[in-house]
Amino acid sequence: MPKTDRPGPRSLTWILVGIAVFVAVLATLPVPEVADGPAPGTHEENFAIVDVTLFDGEAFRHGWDVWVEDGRIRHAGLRLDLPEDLFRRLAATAPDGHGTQHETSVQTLADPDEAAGWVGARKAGGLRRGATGKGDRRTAALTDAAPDTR
Amino acid sequence: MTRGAETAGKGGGALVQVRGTRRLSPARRLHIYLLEARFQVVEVLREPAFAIPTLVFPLILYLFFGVIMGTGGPSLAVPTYVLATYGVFGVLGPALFGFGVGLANERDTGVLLLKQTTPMPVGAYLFAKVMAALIFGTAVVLGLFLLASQAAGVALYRWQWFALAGVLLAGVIPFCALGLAVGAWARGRSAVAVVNLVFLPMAMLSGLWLPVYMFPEIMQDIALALPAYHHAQLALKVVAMDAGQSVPLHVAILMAETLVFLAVARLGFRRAGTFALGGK
Repeated sequence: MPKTDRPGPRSLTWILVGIAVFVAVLATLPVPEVADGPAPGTHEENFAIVDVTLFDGEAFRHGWDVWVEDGRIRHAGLRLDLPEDLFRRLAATAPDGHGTQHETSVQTLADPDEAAGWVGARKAGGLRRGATGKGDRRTAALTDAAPDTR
Repeated sequence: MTRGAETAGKGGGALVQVRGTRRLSPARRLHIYLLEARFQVVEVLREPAFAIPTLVFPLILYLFFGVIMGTGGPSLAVPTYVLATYGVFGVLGPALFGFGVGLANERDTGVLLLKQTTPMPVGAYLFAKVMAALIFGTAVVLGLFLLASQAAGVALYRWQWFALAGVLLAGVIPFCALGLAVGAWARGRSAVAVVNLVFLPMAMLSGLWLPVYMFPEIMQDIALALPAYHHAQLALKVVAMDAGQSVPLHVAILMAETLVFLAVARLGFRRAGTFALGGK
């Protein structure tokens, strides 16, 4: 190939280098921190359920956190800025916050006389558990809580 | 362009080259495509008045709304939301301006006609424009990702980073088609104004600056017809902040609108081609 024709292959090299750099940078971007494992019997009223999938009436929200304080939901949102010392439950270990892969937490009306509450549901199978989880301490705490999801 | 090359070649030796284009090997064709793409990128880089604002504007917007005003709240929802929407905005700019304004200017200055007299395949010209938009879009997306992760504290799962980048860069195709349509119809002097008339209202109405649900209902209805809205919804779906419509719906609308833009561009080229050959 004549010398004047070299920019073509050189362009291809640059494109490949660019793609490699782009992928390398993407691979080094930060990912969410892994939450603490479950520790039964501690922090019953103040905790956060992290990395949960929930349905807010419009769409499934993956990877959200729910911050519970004094038994009430303080915030729910994407990657909450949670206090360092707050106990974190992985969604997969929380009673009503089943993991992000196959199961979903649904925020819905729990009782006409109460505020909204949280019930567990399987994405594929609809409601798994109603809003009658008073026996479940965490469910009760969440059911009594007034949500603040916006 | 092959037809134009044939026209130019009827008078002499260029005809030999035209015949040569019909027997281009795939390697030779790829070489021409890459060569044209390289020159297109170099040409854009040599225009700092275009390159710098295109690259920096989305980053400044993100710095202001995503980092300075978006952080400090209880969650990272704002910086994550605007990362997706400003990513769309950052890809939209180079595609619309590169194609729309660039094409209109090249036609008015005669560069397009000059290229038509060469045996270069027409696809190489379009490929070069798309590649330039893609490279600039990649630079903007990369800058936004670094700014979001380092300055705003946005953390996404690995698959989300890659998926968001892929979705954002895939938006180059419909936006280039839109730019092609604008460039095929607009004249050189008016192209900037026309592109701005498309670019800024579409960015605002599509929810790239503010969420669509904050708008009056009629504006929300208008958003449903805009390609940037559907592209933004796809990007927002990656970070779980979309309005809840389905992915196939957004993809189907984007594909349909891309075809419409290409058809409009074709009509514009026919009109402009006739006009140019008619003694412009």
